[in-house]
Amino acid sequence: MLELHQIFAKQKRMLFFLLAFCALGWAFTPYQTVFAGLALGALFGHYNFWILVRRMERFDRSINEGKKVASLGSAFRFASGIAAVAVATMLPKYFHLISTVIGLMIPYVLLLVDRIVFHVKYQ
Amino acid sequence: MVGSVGLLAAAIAIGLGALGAGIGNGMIVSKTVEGIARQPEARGVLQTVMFIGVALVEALPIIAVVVAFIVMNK
Repeated sequence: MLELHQIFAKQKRMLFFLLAFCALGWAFTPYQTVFAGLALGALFGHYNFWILVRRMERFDRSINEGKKVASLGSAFRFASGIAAVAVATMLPKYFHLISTVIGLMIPYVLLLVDRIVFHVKYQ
Repeated sequence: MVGSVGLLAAAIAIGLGALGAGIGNGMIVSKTVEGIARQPEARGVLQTVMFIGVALVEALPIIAVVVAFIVMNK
């Protein structure tokens, strides 16, 4: 389970860099809604990722104890995606919808890139 | 608000996305459990791969749900 936490910690570090980048873009460029949407989407995407890590830990524990696993939390992740888009549609003055959806997918892209780099480096 | 065709489109998007995710997740989890039962010492590696697989499989249905939600609110 250690590697799971390592991946999550790396994602967290990258999220902070991304949020700093979004803050800079929000403050110094005219595309404020785009950067705000990216930050919002990335936050919700990261929340999705956190839920997944938590469920994986529960899955691990269940296998250890020989219990059944109820779910991997897909409904929660779908709901948090909808929540991000709902915020963006409710406040179009502050958040750009498409960039919110793009931001929602950023953790997955980072995960994929991270694994590709890991494989190229170590295998 | 959206018409009945839009509602149908949203329902199909969510349904097919969830169907794909369900099949994909089921296969990933079953093979991981099978692998852990066969080789308990490889458990950490298998679970990491499963984690990445589940995360990537679920990206598309999340997009489907989001698109359906956007279509319904147009």
